[in-house]
Amino acid sequence: MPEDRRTVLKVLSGVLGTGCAAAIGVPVLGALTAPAVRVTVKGARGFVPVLALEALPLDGTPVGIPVVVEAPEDAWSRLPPTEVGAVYLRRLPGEQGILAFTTVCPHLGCRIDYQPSRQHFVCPCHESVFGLDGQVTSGPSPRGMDDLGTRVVGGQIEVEFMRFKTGTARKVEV
Amino acid sequence: MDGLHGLLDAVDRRIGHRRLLDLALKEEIPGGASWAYVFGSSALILFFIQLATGLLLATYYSPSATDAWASVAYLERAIPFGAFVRGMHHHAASAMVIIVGLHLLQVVLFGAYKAPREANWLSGLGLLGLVLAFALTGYLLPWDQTGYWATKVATSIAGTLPVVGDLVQRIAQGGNDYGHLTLTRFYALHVILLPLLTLVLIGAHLALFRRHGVTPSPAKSPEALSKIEQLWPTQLAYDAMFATVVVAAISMLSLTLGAPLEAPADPASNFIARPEWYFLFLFQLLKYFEGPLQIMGTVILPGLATTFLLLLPFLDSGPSRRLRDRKPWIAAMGLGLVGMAGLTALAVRSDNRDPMIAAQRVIAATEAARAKELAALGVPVEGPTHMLSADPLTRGARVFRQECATCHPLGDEVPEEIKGPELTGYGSRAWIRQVLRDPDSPRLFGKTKVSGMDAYAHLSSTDLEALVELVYSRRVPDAPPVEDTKAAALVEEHECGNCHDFEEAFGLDGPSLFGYLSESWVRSVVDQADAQHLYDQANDMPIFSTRLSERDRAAVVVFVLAQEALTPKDRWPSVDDPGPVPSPRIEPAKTSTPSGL
Repeated sequence: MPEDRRTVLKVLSGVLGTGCAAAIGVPVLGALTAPAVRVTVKGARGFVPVLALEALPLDGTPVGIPVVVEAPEDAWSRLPPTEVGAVYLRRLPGEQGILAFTTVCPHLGCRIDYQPSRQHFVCPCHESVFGLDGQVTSGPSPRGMDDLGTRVVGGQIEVEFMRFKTGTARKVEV
Repeated sequence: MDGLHGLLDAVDRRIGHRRLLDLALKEEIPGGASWAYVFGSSALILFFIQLATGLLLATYYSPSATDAWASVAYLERAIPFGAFVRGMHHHAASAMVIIVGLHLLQVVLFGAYKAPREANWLSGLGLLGLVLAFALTGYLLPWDQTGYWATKVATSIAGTLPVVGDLVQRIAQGGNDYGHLTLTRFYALHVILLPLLTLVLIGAHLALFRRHGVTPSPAKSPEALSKIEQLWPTQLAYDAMFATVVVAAISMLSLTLGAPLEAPADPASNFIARPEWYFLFLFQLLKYFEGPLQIMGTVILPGLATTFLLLLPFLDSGPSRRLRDRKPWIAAMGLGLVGMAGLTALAVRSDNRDPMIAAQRVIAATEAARAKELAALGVPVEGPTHMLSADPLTRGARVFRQECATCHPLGDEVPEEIKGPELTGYGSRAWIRQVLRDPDSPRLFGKTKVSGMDAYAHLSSTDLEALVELVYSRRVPDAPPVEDTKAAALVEEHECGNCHDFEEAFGLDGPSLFGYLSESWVRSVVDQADAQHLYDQANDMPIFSTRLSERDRAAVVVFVLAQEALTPKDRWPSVDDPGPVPSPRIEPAKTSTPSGL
């Protein structure tokens, strides 16, 4: 067989093979990586009522409260009212307002506990310790506890619940 | 280039890839490359396409009765390329059946199953069986109406087997009935067990093929056979060209048709189950055997055909591969093929001629479209079947078909005996205009005891429109009093008020027009049409307040009132409708669905 016919057939096979692989591969990879740039789980949007203002201790003791969202979504599902997370609420001295922290540890995402006897927050996973103001006092956490926006509407405390990237010094919403 | 060659040399000394490549590419083909040999490689390529697309589907799919349909609908709706990849998986499955069929035919025509290649033949039949097993298990996974009902037929057939039937059926469906466990079971088979078995059998099939080499056409002369060509590049180029045609075809089908997704599986519905096109001949076969003969169609005939294929190399054991020396076997194969094609054609023809099936298909398409529309708002945790049957529009349509369609014509659905007014475009200006023009038309109140209203077809179009607007506007709570409308003088002149109440008085002979065509007015007709302020003595309609649940009555009212928005303009004879009007109660369907039923 002439050598240039062999070459034509070789190139043709290569082109067609690559074309077929691309016809399958591009859509598959496109669909596979699509969730990277999508909001697939929708929890709270905006402020969520969590507690009656009068139920928050006057002496500044933190209270852990679950955050219930009316109709959170997970990909194809619309869920009934669900606890999507929790916050610590604390009254600041005088009329300075209310402080809210998410319970998610900014280190690697474990749930932070409050220890009333020592009046500080501790993450049980890697022993990061936070003061009542949320600042790191010891342990590996790269930043203080993440605070959340609050407001009081009709005697109800509302929290702007959101999640943040863990493990970084900067607080970035995810 | 020297650097690259040096690197490849070094790699080859370590892993020996050149010997492997040579083994793959320098396979010798006696008689040279041929288009007859392209089917096997295409089947292999289709298998890899199914692995790649199937992996993607598995990353989105959730095998549970409450989530499966919703997860597939989500992939189709929300994920870029999702519908395309699912379409590829669907059409590649069909292509696989065709290509494997052609491969088998080519092997039969060339007599390639003969000694010493019996094991090639048997491993190939095993792969054919796996292809069909993939098709059967995969069809159920979307948990939509077609998959659910067609697969139910298959497992029910298993249930009719003598002695072991019940046990086999329970094992196949994972319990006493279809549910979560059926899906998890079919999913595990489809994505783990069957692919593993297929890989093993493909390995065996290829190894046997390489052991014995290709079987050239029996028509080739010894001189032609003495010409030896290597696989690479000619045969491989043929293979690549054919595979490209196959991939292009399934890509086109995926882009244009996509993969079907019917409404979510509903055990309470009367969906007409049809298998995929390549199983239609088996489906048709079932129609011919009744009672105790049923096993002929389910087991015996398919079993005989399978046994024939398995035994073919041992039955046709002569040395000659020429067609004229194998006439009985070729004839038997041909007869089988003609039988399959004939049965398939009969199945398609009888479905296409059946008006019941056509009507069911319209209903199925409407419900599927509505289910997808609702799913876009998020599927509740109870699952999509519950979601759809709780939807007033869908539920109302079902109740209407059951309770109302036997008397009232609607769209294409005309009852055998019309006993009530046609409800196509009910509540629209066009419908009201027809009632004013000709209330005793056989399409309206002509077949009922309701009578006595004058026909106003002779009015000028301005006057008629004024009356239409008057009647149309009664449904809103703050409808202006008759005296304040353009129709005031006409109402006076034609003495409409002698029979019809326009205010909440309820003392006259004709039906009250207070709140006419509002949700509560229509509801009162559904509840009790013989109420004094409605059709009273002239009523023929059943009293539904005691016959249907509160929920069903509310749903049917939503459905009936949606007809104005759902009915295309040209469905009612008066097409000069002034145009769309915002309906005060009904959210019109977002997509244009076929009218009603």
